[in-house]
Amino acid sequence: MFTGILSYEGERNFISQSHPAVRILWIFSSFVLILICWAPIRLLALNMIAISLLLITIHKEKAKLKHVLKTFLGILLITTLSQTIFFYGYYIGEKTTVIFYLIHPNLPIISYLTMGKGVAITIEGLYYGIIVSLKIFFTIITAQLFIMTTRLSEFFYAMKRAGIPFKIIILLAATLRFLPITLEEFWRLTTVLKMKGEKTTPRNFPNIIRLMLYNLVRESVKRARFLAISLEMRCIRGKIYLLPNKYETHASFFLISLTMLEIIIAAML
Amino acid sequence: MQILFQNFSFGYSKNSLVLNNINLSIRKGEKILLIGPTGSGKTTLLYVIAGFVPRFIPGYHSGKAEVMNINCVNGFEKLRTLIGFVLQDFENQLLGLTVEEEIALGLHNLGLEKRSLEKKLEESLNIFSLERIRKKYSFNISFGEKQRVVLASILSMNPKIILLDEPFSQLDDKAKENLVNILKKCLNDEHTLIIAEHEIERVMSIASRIIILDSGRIIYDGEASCRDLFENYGLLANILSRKSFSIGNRVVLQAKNLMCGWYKKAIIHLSEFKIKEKEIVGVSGPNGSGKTTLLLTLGGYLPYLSGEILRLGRSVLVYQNPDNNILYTTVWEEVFKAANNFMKSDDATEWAEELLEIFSLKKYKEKSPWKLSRGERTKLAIASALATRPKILMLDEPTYGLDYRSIKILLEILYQLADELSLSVIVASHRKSFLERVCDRLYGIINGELKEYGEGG
Repeated sequence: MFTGILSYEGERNFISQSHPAVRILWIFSSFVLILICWAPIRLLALNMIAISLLLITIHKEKAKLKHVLKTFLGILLITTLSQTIFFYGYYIGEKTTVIFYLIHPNLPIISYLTMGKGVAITIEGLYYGIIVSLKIFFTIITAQLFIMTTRLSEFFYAMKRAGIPFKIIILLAATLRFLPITLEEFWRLTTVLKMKGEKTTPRNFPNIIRLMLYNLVRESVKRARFLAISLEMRCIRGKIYLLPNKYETHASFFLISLTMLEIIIAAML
Repeated sequence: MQILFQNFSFGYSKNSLVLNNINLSIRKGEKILLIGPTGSGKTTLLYVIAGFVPRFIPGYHSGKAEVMNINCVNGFEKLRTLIGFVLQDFENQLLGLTVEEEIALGLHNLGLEKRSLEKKLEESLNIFSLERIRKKYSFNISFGEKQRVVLASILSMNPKIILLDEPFSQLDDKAKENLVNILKKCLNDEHTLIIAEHEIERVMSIASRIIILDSGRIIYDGEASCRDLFENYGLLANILSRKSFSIGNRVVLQAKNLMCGWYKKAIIHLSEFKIKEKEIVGVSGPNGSGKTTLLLTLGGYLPYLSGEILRLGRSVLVYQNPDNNILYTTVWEEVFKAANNFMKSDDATEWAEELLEIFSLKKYKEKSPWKLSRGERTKLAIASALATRPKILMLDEPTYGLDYRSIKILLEILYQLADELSLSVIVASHRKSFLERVCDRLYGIINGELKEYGEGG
């Protein structure tokens, strides 16, 4: 299911037709920009670009696009809510304007647990929540676009050309390789938990998280072990040969322009 | 001798030997079929030959194990250029490149020049009939194709010794036939081949010698014409028996005009599917035909696109890889916790004890599930599924990685429980002959359409 969301998109779009080095440049610049950028308008503009790119890349598969957008909007909503509700400034005594209380400060026990603050939605918290979720939203979409359009060999090749040590490339590549599988694993685990009748009540939540983490980590270690054996069996020495692929100059040029646009937005707006 | 074992033993500790005093000599060019019950040490023997022990699998070892005069225990660096190994879970061997890049990866690491690399690559693509999918991402191809890609990537490196660990266990009949033909085409007197396999009939045409392992010891080593011997050891499918009780009257699951799939993309359509109490229904279909999707949909774990399903009671699925069903840290927890989610603690304890007894797992109660053998883990996965007292048990490729003796034991337990608990069982498998032997009725998936095509037996 999730493997489908992150599956490779072939050579049907301009990102996969651009040169791998350009793609690496684009992804790194995007990540640096999103780290340093805090202004809401800039963040909104960057997110608009990311969403447009996503639409261009998978616009033909409507059901998949809908599913991807639904998942991402869910993440956006959850991040905004959690960041707003648990805004650190409110609890350390910064000046905030309360919109309303989810749990009033006078409520016994809870009041004690929350240092007499209760749980409140504040204007500052809401603002902070929106900013953080916009950053996360952009990061997820951009990372997903990169994974969907870049073969591991292209990734290897570009990183090697950039002079990154092979051990680090292998680590990064394995992470890329495992991401869709781990998500698939996550979906399988939720199904098995359902079959075994594990309740999704707040009381049982820590138990579910523990089971999920334990099984995800165990499965990842197992896979990593087999992958290491497989690489060693094939005498891996870090030589990467990029098989001839059709890279379109106009696609690379377009992606470079887009990267420049992102930099201008982050610097100017 | 190309491969030589003298009094070689290996175990995860000195007291639990997986291989016990192995004496074996294999000449260059021999084609060997390695058989034996689940957990007899076949895979471990292949691991030792490949030099994985103790580099990747630490443990106690004694005696001598050599491949072309290289000590297997500390010679992995040298052995890896001589040996090609297709693991049982071969999907883990793919690094996520396209098909042609997957093959080129090993060749390039051997230091081949670009021109000769490309020539070798073209040859491999041609031999393994992979030209059509050469540009495809290696995760988006069928199961049989994936195995061909792994095999091509390994054979293209021109190993002297080829090790295949249960290469047929996950393939449908057509893919199996293809694999046999490819092996016949590719291998010559220069290649030594060792295949560990349960489906003996399939490999007999390739093998020149047979080695039978049981409990880590070689119990037969000789010519490949010993059908009587296979029957004596229960290694053939004919030991499987049919259930003796009759089917109930109540329909427990019925689906009409059902469309199953992912992301609104239809994979399987069925006009009608039903199963009665105590009935065992088989679903056959080639790799990638959507059997698991169908089971997940029928079980209510995946939304269907259109149609209707009527289910009288809960259903549980045991995945193709039983490890996928295992969640908890001990055997007891695995069965008890599942039971306790559906009944009171006292009843759950009693039921879990009973299940462990039935499945002969009581002695492992406090053990981690991951310390059990493959066959025992399959039993545990089924026991854990049954702990929730379902009305319908769905088994996805239950024969995967099991020998016929283990399958027979499992079937007898299932027959007993189906009769006692009025349990209905849906079995999905690509092994039609197995389904015909054990099921009351059979369905088949042909071109995305599920159709009933007769009675079993």
